[in-house]
Amino acid sequence: MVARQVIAELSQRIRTIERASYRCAPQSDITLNGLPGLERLLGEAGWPRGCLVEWLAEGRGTGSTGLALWASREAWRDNLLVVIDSQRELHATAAVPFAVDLSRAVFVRPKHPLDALWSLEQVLRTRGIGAVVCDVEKLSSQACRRLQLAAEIGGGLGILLRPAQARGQPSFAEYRFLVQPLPPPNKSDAAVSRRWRVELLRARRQFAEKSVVVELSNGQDGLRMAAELASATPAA
Amino acid sequence: MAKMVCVWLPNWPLQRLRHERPELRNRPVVLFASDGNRGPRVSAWARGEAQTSCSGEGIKIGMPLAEAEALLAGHAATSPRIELHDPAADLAGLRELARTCDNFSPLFGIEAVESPECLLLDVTGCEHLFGGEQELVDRLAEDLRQRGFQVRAALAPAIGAAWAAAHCLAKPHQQPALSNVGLDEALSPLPITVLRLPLKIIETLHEFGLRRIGQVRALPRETLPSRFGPELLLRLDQAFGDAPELLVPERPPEPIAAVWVTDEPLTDRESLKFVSGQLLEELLGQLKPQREGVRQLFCQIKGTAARPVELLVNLVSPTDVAKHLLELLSLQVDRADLPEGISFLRLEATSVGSLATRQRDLFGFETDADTHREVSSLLDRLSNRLGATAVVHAVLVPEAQPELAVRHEPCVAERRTTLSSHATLRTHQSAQARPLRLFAPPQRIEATAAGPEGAPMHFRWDRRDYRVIRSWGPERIETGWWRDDAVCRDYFRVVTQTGQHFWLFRCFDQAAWFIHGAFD
Repeated sequence: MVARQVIAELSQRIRTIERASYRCAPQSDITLNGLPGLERLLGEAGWPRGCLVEWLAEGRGTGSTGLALWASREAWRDNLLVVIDSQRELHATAAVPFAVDLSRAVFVRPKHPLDALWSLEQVLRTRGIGAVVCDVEKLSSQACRRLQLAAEIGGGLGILLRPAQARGQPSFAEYRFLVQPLPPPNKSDAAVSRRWRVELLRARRQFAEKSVVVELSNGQDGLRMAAELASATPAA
Repeated sequence: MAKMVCVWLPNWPLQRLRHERPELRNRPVVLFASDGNRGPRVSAWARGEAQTSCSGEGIKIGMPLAEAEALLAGHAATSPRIELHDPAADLAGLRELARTCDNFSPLFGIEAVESPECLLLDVTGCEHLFGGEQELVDRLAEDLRQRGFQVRAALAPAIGAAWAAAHCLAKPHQQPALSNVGLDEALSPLPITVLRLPLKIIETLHEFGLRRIGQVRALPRETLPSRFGPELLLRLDQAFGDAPELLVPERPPEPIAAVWVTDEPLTDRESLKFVSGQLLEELLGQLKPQREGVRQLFCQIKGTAARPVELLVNLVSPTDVAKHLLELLSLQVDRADLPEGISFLRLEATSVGSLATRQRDLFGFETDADTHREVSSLLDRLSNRLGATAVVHAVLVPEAQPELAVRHEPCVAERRTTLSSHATLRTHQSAQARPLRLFAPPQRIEATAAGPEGAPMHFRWDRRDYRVIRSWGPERIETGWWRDDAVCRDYFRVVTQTGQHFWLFRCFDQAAWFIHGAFD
């Protein structure tokens, strides 16, 4: 237990050194409360504040947006959530079950991709923003670096939803995940539950596991992530 | 001869509230005020406009709020709205309303009492513009009625007479216009309560059996002050126009503006920004003594020949920081099509507000107020570059049709609607039943179904074929026939062989399949 604390402390210090321009007040990481699957992947690290996290998925209807929202919900517990929705598609009614408090959420709907990028940087740079969610199709490494620096100033969490084609591109994000939907489990109950293989494509640190299967089920008391699942085979 | 108009707005606090919030029109509303140790007391109340039942029978002004609630609970079909009475807002609202009547008279005001309910207009010499006294007062009353107010109006040679006639002689669609001739006959039968006397004098007069104005007029004038005090004679004379009565006119507020005019036109944007900065400093200097900041800034730029360019900067909260205002203005100026050679620039604070108190802790560390200001500043920047409608809050609406179930309200709007509890309830019931991405409008697809009312088995969308391996539904969503765009749809949530979840519906009107969203 003591060794684990020492390792956590050292990793926090390393991260502080890594961020040469770290200008926001040092804060503790955002916990992965109630996310057993991701806890297995990331250990007890959680989401560091002031960083970018990329969620990649192939095609529509994969559930990656919902999973990203659910996994990051602690980030906006006491702060504002900003959703940059260029397509004007995000349905607020459906966001509520994913722990989005609409009275503390702002939807930004720019018409042009350049405006979306500008808005994203402005939001990330602002203190008092818990998290910002944005669809980003194309992102140059220069723009990504700017976003990362802006996040470090603001101290919020930047959740970038990107197509799977972006996996080969360079990135300054703290984590890059690839979300692949799996066919539904053969259960006879009427409740909707979803399974994904979440692969950690990129991280600044080394973790024991690279890939994990997570399941999100819709119970009586809202969404819940299944605690134990079979070990996933690493994606090819 | 003077011509005065009195417009009485009965139960003004409630009228104002319902005018500002029309959703309260059909609900009983009770206003209460705290009365020291005696607890909250009813200060005004009214039942819903469409209600004819005897709900709320027995509620009286001044009774404890709890009693009024109990009386309403027994009868009311719709839940009553209970609000704290705001006399300052009533006064401000009535003044604002008076200022909108400036097309009927240059001299207008409100009655000088503690809780005013009347507008007063000096229309002397204005009647011929409207075709006569009767036409003037009819048009004024109709104008206010069309704006949604209930009014009783009257015209008379004196304020006192107009007040009395508005309260006793006027009817919903009948505005009396009294003249000097016959004023005696008109006022004499009216009760003495319309003389605007203190309650004590009225009670004393009643003790003497004096109930009509005519009865008091019949008494010897010189005996009245010694028996009833000097106010009775004054009010009596004011009613008949024998004593002057002051009408305190309402003046429109002076615009808070700064103007810059030059003979040598500006040609570059940098100079324009410099001048704007100076004008902003001047503008904020005017607001500084009142400790107020700008909430809305109107900017007018005129060139040598072209039409003026008008820009509007809206802010989430009032600010007195010139740099921030200049930044917001620049965001719009950079995108505006400016005229050649700018020779005129005018900045006006069209809406102002009190500045929030600034406080830092002992060591000057940033507090939550700083964070709040940063967020406000962010919303201002986003709203002014992308447009107010592009930076919004989502408000749930109790509506079956999915695309209409959310209303988006600009963050920089004056007031925000609170979340409807009913809507929130519905959302929890249907948790995860709606897709996170909703396509607007729904896209038509080719699909094959198990039967005329069965679930889809295959569909083709976005140049790809999908095979459905599982589905949930149907969920019938049907809106009322009385709506022009009524819909009748059977929704299915489907899972494809690739594990993707989509929301499809069968449209009965068009006998076709559509994809409405993706569970992203």
